[in-house]
Amino acid sequence: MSHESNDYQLLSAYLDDELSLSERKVIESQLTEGSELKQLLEDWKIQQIALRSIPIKKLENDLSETVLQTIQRNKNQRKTNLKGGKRLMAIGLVAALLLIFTALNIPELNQRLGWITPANQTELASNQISEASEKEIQPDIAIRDQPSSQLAAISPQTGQADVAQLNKLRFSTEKTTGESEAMAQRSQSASVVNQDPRSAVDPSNQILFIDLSHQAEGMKLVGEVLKTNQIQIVSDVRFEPPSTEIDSSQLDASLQVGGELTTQQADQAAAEDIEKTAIAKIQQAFAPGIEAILVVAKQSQLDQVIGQLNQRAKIVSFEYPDLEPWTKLNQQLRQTQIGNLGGALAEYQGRGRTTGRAPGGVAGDSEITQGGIGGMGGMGMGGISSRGGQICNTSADWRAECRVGPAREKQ
Amino acid sequence: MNPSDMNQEDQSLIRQTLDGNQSAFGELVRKYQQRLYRGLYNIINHESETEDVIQEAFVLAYTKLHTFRGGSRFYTWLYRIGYNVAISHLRRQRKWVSLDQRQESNGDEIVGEFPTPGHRMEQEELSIQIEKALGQLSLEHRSILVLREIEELDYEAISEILDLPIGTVRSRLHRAREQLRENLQNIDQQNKVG
Repeated sequence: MSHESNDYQLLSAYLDDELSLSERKVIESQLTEGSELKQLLEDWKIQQIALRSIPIKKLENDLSETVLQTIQRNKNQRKTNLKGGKRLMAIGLVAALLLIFTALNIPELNQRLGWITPANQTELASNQISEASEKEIQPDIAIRDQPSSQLAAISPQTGQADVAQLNKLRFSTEKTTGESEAMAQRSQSASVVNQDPRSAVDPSNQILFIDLSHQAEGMKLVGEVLKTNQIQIVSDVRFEPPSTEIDSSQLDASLQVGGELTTQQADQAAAEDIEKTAIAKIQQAFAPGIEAILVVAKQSQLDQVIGQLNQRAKIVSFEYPDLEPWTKLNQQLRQTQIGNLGGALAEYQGRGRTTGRAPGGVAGDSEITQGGIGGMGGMGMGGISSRGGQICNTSADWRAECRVGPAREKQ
Repeated sequence: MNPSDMNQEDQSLIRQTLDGNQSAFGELVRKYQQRLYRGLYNIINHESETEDVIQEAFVLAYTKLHTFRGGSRFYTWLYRIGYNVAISHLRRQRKWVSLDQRQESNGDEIVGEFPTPGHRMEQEELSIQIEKALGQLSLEHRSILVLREIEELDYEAISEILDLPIGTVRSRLHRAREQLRENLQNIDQQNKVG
């Protein structure tokens, strides 16, 4: 006797005691001795007993402490982020006010507030340049996430600028335009810290290079950029063995934390362990005198790394999204890394540089040209500086959103 | 302790947690960690990974606790979180360790429930085969069988955890049982040939 598919479903539910009274009656009427349904029910009962006799695995550790600790740590982290967010809002408010005052461009008000006038502008700027070059560059993370609207400290009409404000803006960052809070936070993490464009960085500056990209191919491209920009790396933390592209002979310390992770070898669990080790190594590598850190990392890693180090040096970060397929990531690195990272470094150095073409003729998504803040809506920096130092950022979608204006050479 | 007492106890611990008493949540962790571990282990098949997953599940449950309305049992709600974390974990890992491997690596002893030695041997053999057959199932079929046969959850709870209509739970369970039976027959055939 053959049965409808529904009969088997009913039988299965009958075994689980999940039938209505009427359904039960229908099935029971068919469960005659020797029937197919009866045999099937017996088989499933045996299966059920066997499944329920699979050895019970016991958890050996009490996880409650670990869970509570993690919860506490997350809470603390969230508080820190909130503080950052409030700071950002406050800065934004100040910036907005500055914009209003500047747009009004009331000379009396400017004077009362101590804004510079065209007459003393050059002198002030010149003093500022020498001060900047003499003193050691200090980390200025407190303002590194200021929005670009603060550029409004420069008057669009007259090019007048408040030197004090400009000074504060030295490390300002233009962020990816994040609509949501989450996006804003991510962009904040991925911010590029700009050095004062007036003081080009000495190639002998000490930079700690942290590469958490796992990408040998990508590393070659990074190496090209480093060489092109004459960046001296005093120590590095990365997954691949030191390669010739990075000229490892110049490294004081190479803190390799793992072997090369190829596509085949890339195992998530192993990678996570290595990343934990990397964070510890980064701390070790942080010698006095290092004034900047170049980080190549995924978004999630970047948050972690910056969380560890942002009190200690400026961070030039190159962020790429958490893409799963390693091969895809390699391809994207090839296409965009040169452009983005080149832009970040050129910006850090305060000298715009065209680095938008990767080896092998693959064009990068971004092209960094000589330009400057002068490109922003026609606002200029007057006689202070117009070379390089354009503000750009590496956004979550891999596009370097550098607002590059026409090159301005007048000094 | 009857189910309604347990529910009241859970409700009380949840309320205390939401009032800021973290140690109350610690109580909930202690209360359900073994059960959650057992359920998810049968899906993940790896001790330390299962531990990581349930830790993550508890942390997630803590952050989402205010959304728990008490419409379902706390464990069902918790298991759903744990199950989703486990599935994401497995998809991220892209691995699906067979139960063969699990048995080899853990050397789990199969404990029978049949009273006589003959029955015990029979049961042990069947347990080995059933683990193998279970390991050959798709994630969907395996998950639903674990929820029903090992967790012994009713259709309503399974429906909540897997976010499926009751009718789908019923039909999927039937297909999972049939597939398991087929796998067992194949294993049996292989054993006879071998």
